[in-house]
Amino acid sequence: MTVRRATALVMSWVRFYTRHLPAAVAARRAAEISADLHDHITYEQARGTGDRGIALGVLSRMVRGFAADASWRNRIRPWRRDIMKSSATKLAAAVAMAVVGVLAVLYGGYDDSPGLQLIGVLLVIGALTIGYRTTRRRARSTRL
Amino acid sequence: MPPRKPGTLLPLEAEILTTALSLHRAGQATFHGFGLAQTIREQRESRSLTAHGTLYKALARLEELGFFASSWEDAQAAEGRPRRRLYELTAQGIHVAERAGVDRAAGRVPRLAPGPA
Repeated sequence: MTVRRATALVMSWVRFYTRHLPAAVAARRAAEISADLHDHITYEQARGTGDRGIALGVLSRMVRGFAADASWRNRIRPWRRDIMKSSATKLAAAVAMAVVGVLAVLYGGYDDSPGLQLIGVLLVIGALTIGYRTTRRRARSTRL
Repeated sequence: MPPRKPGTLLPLEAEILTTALSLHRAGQATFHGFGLAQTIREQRESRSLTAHGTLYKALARLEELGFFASSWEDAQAAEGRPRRRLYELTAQGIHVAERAGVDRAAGRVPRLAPGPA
């Protein structure tokens, strides 16, 4: 994972959870995160941190903040029930879960933390299960 | 984040306020998100920075409560990089931060308003 990809992933996540929010609120959050990412990367590069370490640090901050982002978003404008129940959202959640799982495995290896790696493996298995069940249900409902 | 008791500050919110107060007393009137996360990391002697979501959610709440005021950095000062959102303690924020510091030192849960001694 490169620094550029990590920052692109963070900004994609910001765009996702700020969708349907008032434009000024969404723009402010995106601009703040963008400035934070720039400062974070510049600081780590000046310290001599390698690209992989910076990317993992950036992704770790994104992943650890998922719950707070979702709760902040929900407080400003609650998630609509139809969005939460749609197959696309379930599949997106499964993909996000798989990404978090893979990152946990990578970060656990980098940080020498077998417990975190185990959590990562469990997340990946959970994501695959959700993805499989959602795809099957969608195919069944399309046939009917 | 742990659940909030009514009328209290979360540990991170109290930490942000006391850190902002220490910066204010050191002559740094304004601070930005990453700078704050970095200062907190140094104080905790931790390896990891506060997560984006946790940090900006806490800052948003403290601003809503009137403890911080914020504005965008001047484009000229930014010198081509993304402009930072600069936060500043309000008079009310300084008061609450001072009390939060006392509460934390005494091992009490920091409160939003003065309570019974």
